[in-house]
Amino acid sequence: MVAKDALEVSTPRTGLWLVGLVVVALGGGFLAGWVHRHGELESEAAAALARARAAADEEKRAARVVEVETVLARALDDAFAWRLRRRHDSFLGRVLARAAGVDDASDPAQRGDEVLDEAIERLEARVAGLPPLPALAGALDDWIALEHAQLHADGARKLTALANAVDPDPRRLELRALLGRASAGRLRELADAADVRRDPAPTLALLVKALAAVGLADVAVRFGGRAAAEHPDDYALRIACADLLAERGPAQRAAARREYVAALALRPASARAWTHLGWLLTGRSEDSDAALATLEAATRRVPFHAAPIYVRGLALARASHESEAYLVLLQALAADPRCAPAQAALGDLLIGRDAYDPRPIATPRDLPPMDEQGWRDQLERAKEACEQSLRLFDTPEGRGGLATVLRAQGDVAGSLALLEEGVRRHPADATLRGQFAAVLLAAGRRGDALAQWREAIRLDEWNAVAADACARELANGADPRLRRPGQAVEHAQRACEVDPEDAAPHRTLGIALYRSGEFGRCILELELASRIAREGTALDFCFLAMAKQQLGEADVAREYFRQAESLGDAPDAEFVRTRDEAAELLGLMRSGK
Amino acid sequence: MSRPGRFALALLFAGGGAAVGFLEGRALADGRLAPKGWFAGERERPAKAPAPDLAPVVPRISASLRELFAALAEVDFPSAGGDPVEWRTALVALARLSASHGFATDFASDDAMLARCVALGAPVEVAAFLDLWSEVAERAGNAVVRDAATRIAARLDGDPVRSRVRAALLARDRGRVLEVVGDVDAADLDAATAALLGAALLRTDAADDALAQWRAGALEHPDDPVLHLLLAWRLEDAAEPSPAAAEEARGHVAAAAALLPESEALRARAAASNR
Repeated sequence: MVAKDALEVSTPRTGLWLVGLVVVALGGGFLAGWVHRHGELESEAAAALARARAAADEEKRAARVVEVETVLARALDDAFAWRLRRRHDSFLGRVLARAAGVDDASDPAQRGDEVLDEAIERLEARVAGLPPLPALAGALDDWIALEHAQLHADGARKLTALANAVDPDPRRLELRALLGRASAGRLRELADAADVRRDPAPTLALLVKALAAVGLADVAVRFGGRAAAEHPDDYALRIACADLLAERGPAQRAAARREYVAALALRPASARAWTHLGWLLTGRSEDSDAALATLEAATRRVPFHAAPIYVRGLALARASHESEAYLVLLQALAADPRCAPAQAALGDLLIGRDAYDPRPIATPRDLPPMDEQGWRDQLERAKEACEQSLRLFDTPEGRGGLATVLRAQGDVAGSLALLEEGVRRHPADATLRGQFAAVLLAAGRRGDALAQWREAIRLDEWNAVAADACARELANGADPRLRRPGQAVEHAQRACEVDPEDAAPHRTLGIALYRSGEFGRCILELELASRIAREGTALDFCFLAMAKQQLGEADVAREYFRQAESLGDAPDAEFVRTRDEAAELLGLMRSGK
Repeated sequence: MSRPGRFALALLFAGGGAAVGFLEGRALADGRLAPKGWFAGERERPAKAPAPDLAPVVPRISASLRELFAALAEVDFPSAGGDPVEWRTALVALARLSASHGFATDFASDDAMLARCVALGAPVEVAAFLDLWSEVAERAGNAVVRDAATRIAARLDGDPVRSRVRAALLARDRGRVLEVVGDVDAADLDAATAALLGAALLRTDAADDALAQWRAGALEHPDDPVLHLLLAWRLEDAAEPSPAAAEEARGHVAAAAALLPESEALRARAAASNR
């Protein structure tokens, strides 16, 4: 109706006008709609671009998290493979820095704290802006505990700050703080309150490390066992328990081995688990074959890590496969040309020094001139190898090796000076202290030697060489005023526990028991030492003679004494002293006396 | 019509035109007005899939199969030289366990059984499980199941070394088993082959060689639970295992428990050995 009216009233011009208006309106509307939609599309595109950028950033972050949690955390864990001897610190800081990406960390010219600072800076740069990284923090916790053990408060503080930044879990923050304060009471409370079934494995692993670090090792062992039973598939927990048990001496050796096997099952490419298991097995003569098989598999599994190759070299040397050991140590140097311990082990190998368990070497006696020249050449080659090792890095191994060579070459003063400096630089290395004590004794400084041995035993209660040497000096030292038979028995028993298949500590225990008046047990131990060594020494027979005499078996005593004299062709001072004592006890006059 | 009326009408037309134009403009910008069906044979573009999240890790074996492996630790296998009656009990337990994990075993028809095994996926693992069936059946005195399981495993898993071992087992040819052992380096074998070769050696009464084979396998593949379980079983097998063997067995139980944390039986065994 309206349209009809409109048509009626409109003239052709009006109609045209209306049509034009509609067309213009349509066109204008179309244009406005097009532009409006394009505006929306543009903003949608911008939003989509922003979302895509955010997703790409997130993806990159996720990739970085994976890289840090797997590659970096594992590299730090693998670097811990070098923690072989207790308190073997000097080389470890450099290894940590190299794992963190500091390429020139092995430069001996750089100070240890500077290297650590650089390593922490690198680590901070790699974790900046990332979400919590519990695996990395777990790896760092080991290094924090080590820094605390070495009384490097500054390094520990910086590493703790980094670990706290990447893992801000409140309970773990508290545990890290307690680690620094050595709060045994609070840690014990936390262990009692912990729910091993519900608490996360990283927290339990840190609690185990903290308990061990503050000296509650037995509590840590028990707690770790319960935690591992509830979280059997957590590598960090299993390896922490394994390392803890390995340091608890022979009684826990089997349990430590079990934990290492479990850790390897969970992470077959763990250089740390392979190396520490190999090191553990190498420590006992009867596990020698298992050690070699394990370390061969290790070098196939982790062929580019020097630590298992180095330990394999030591195991081969211990098993008297010297040529193969030499080649394997060269392989360790090929894997890491700055591997100073492997270079030092080459020197040790040349002079027959047991790098795993270094004892004073015996200089061959009465060699024909050709062989004597050969021995001198060998000493020179060993000296060169040890000096090269010290040029790579100042390690207790390099110093110990060079000091041994110098002593064998007759330079006792040079050896003493080298070891004195070594002990100053590596005050926490029990092995080096033990060696220093032996040279002090050779120089006639008996009191100082005993002090060093006692410190070595305090640093590492399972250092069998130091315990044996200290016990021998306390039982049969040249100065009777310094003898302490009761302490000698204690130290000798500890040394026997470490490797029951080693004759030397049983011999020492026999001597210490004689001095304590326990003649029956003395005889049993000396006979055991002879059985293990497949022959008795002149010193064994002297003490057997005296023990038998004390028990009233004079005829048997004389027979033992006769055997001692027949074996004592190249008598050392200890034998001469003891032989004279035995002769006096037996009422025999020594010829020429 | 009055002038205001005309003006209103014009506005109405203009407004309607503008609205229609606006909607068409948007539709064109969206591509909704794109001609469709004008071009014969034009292919539809697939809808763009949303970007996937981080690629999920696909487990190599299915959850039920993995549970089955974990549950194997709960079967109380008798000693190697045990009474066949005890082994028959173990065979029944194995059958029940398999059925309860969706792996119904019926060795009446090789083809039907093979089809079921193929459907499970993870042929190497399933073949290893069939090898276990074969071992249990051998000790239970059930030659039909023993050979059927080995035959199906051989068809399922084409690995050349394992095929040789299975052929030797089917032929009951000790010499051929030893020949395979001589031809391969234990360090180069994968875990499944090491397990099978050790089992074959055990069947040929070379118990020490079997143990050595499994030990070498476990060293090379410390993350294989089957080898750890076999070693634990064998080392604990003696009436009075030596302390060293018992200790070694405990280590393997610990490793197996670490690898199969879902097995309560293994956890209990590991916890008992720690006490």
